[in-house]
Amino acid sequence: MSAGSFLTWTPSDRRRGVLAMLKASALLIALPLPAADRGAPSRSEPARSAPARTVQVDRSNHGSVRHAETHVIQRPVEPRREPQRPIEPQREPQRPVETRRGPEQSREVLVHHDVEAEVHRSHAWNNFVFGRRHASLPLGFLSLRLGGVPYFYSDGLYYQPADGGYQEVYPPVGAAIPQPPDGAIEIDAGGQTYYFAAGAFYVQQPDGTYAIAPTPIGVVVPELPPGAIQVSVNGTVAYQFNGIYYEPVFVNGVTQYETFAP
Amino acid sequence: MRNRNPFLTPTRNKLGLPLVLLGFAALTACAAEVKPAVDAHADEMLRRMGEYLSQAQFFSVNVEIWQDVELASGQRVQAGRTAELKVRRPDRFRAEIHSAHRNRELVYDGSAITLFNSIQNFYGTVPTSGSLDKMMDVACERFGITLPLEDFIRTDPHRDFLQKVISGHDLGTVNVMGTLCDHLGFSQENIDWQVWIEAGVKPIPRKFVITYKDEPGAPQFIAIFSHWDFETKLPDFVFKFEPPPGSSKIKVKEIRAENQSRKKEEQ
Repeated sequence: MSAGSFLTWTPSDRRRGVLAMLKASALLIALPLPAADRGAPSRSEPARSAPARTVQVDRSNHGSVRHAETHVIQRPVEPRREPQRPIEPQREPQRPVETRRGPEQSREVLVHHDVEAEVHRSHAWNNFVFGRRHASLPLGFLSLRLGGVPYFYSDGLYYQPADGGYQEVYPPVGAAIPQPPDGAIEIDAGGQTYYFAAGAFYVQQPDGTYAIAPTPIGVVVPELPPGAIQVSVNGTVAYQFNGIYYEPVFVNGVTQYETFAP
Repeated sequence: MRNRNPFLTPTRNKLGLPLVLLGFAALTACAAEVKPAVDAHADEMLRRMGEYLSQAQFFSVNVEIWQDVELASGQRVQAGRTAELKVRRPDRFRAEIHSAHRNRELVYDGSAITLFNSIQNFYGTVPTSGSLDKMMDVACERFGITLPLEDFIRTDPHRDFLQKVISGHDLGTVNVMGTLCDHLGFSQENIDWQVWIEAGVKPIPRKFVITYKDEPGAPQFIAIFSHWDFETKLPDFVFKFEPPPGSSKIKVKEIRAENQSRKKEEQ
């Protein structure tokens, strides 16, 4: 007879069957699982330390198992969203292009932070020098006009006409470009997402472009704008760029910079 | 029709107890076949390593660290740095981390944690006291600072390592930089990690790898240990930070409030 015919058993058979199952269950409950215990040493531990609490550190950089499930913070981003309103790049036909880029600008370099390792590409805007003159504009520049004042934009840098050529100028607030410069760093502050590059804080606009916003105060950025000058404010070291001051602070164990108004 | 189940007929009732015992044996066998979470030998090796490190009152070690990073182009490369760690229990620690572009130190003298950026000559101090475990918790939870390879420095590495382990295996013996080691592999929900522990009477780690499974491309963190020194004493001055001439003291930004708000969001 098949073992599956429980419903056809007599009442006494059922009692015996149920009793047998109960015996087996009781034995199973009482049964230590030596194999499992052997394999899971933590079960025999009388007490465990409190698990590492969730904190905001970059888990991938410290080589810690204990904090393997912590949050990942602040990574350089390369936004690639296309604007809804295309801006036509222009060319400078009159003069030959003068390039001032050194060979180091065209290659990717590694910047190893102390605790974390990051990879930064070196961009044209890394070599910004206020007032530096150029005979011509780079290929593919954009023409902008802010309050009737002409500006030109290329690869994170802004230019204005000067003495028959062009000079590098600080990023003008209000300038809108199709996408943030390569290497811009995404920063969330005060409920706003900024893209920080070359000392400019870009904010995405409803039409998809990215416009330079006034520098927010109290925001921490991982690197100084290119060409920032070291100054002393109330006896402490600080940096100044385009009228904005940056105070060095240790954040997550590495040096970063917080904007402030003295 | 009368049930003729041979196992339940009166003549077979004498077999009831043996049958129960047989079932018990079968179930015991099934239980024995349940794969252990961690191989006994892997667990033992990890325990030995943990005890060896935690019982050492002082030691120093050099570590070569390699880490997968992705270029903007999508190309995967490895970034490297070195670390020199000095530990004196219960409450002294010094880490010097060097790379091609940046150097940083973290010093704990039992009363304060000092961070030092030797390239820009900045330093910052956080008053705290207590054991190394407590210092590491304060550094991480309040200031977002995680000490390099902290798992090996804690008071009970074996316990802490296994906190979230799902499975672990002894993968055999291999040579790491000419030293015969037991290769152990462990798996957690988000990471896999491996450790190579020197075989023999000195069960010290020789290599350590974390694979971040939940990140694109499963990047790895690789640490290779060398120059373990359990003999050279580490006097107080090793853990005393003296600001170099021209250095500037800067703030160490606390992240506790931010973390607390984040934790509230998670609840």
